[in-house]
Amino acid sequence: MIIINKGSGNCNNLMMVRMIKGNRRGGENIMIFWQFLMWLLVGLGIVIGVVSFYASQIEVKAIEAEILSERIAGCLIDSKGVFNLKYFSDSGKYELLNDCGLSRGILDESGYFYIIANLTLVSDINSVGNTENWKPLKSFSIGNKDLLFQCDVKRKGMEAQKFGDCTQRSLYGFYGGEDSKGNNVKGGSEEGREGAIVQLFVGSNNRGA
Amino acid sequence: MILRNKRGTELLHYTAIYIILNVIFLAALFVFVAQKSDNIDFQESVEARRITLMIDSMRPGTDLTINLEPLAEIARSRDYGGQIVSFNYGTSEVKVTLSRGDGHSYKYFTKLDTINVKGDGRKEVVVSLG
Repeated sequence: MIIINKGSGNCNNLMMVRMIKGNRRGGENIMIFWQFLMWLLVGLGIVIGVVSFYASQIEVKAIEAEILSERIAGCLIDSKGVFNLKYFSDSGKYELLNDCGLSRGILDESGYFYIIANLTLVSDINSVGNTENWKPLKSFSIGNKDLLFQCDVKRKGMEAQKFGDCTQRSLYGFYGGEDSKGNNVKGGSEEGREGAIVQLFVGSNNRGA
Repeated sequence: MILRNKRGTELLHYTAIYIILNVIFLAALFVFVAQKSDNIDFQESVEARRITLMIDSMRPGTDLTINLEPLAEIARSRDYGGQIVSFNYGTSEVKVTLSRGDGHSYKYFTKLDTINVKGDGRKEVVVSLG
C-alpha cells in the first residue's frame, strides 16, 4: 500500500503516481509473458509425455534380442549339455543360422542385429566363478558390431532411443564333441569333457517402416 | 464515468481474449492427445511388431494361426477393403495395412520356409515354419 500526500502539491508525488501507473502496465505485460510461457511449458510437457508414451509402447528391440538369444542358445548346446563346436568358426556360424532357421540376410547383412558368442574353457568346474580357471577358446560374431558400442552407451545410463537394445547371458555346459572339421574333440576330464561357458551377447536395433 | 467504462470494457476484452486463448490451447491439447490415441499409424506399427514377434518366437515344425477379425473390423471402419497382412519374402518383412495409406512393416529374422495366407490376408494368416 503506497500513501501519497496529495495536499503537499509536491512534484515528486506526481512523478511517483505516474511511476506506479507505469509499473502496473509493465506488470501486466510481464504477467502475460509468464502466462504464455506457462502454456508453452505445459503444452510441451504434454506433447513430450504423450509422444514418448506411445513410442515406448512400440519399442520391442529388447524383447526381440531376448527371443533371438534364446533361439541361438538352444542351438549352441545339445540335449546332453555339450556345446556344438562346429558352430565356432567363420563358416560354422552360418551353419548355426541355417540349423536354427534364422535368416542370414537379416541377421548378418541388414545391420540391425549383432551376435557374439565366446566359448571359454573352465579347468575346474567346481569353481566356475573364479575367472583364473577360464581359458578363452573360440568365438564367433555375426552382424553389425556398432551395437556393442550402442548398448555400452545405454548401459551407462544414457538415453538414446535410436540406439539398439541388447541382452547378455552365460550358458554353462561341456566342451567336447565334433568341431567344424568333423574331428572328435575331447576335453581333459575323465569323461573326455571339460566344463565350458559360452557368453552370448545379442543386440537388436530393428526398425519398422 | 466514461473513463471508468472504458477501463471496464478494456478489462472485459482482456478477460475474454484470455478465456478464448485458454480454450483454444486446451482444445488443441485435447485434439492432439485424442489423435494420438486413435492413431491408425500407431495401430499398424503395433500389429506389425506383434506378428513379427510371434513369428520369431516360433519353433521349427510349428504352425501359427493369427486371427485377423479384430483388425478387419478396424479396417472396415476406415473403409479399407484390401489385404491387411502381407509378407515380403525378399526383404523378410511383415506389412500391416488398416487404412488406405502405405501401412507399416517390420522385419522378422526367422527364415520362413512356407507361408500360407488364408482368406486373402483379411480373416486369418497361417504361418508354417519348416
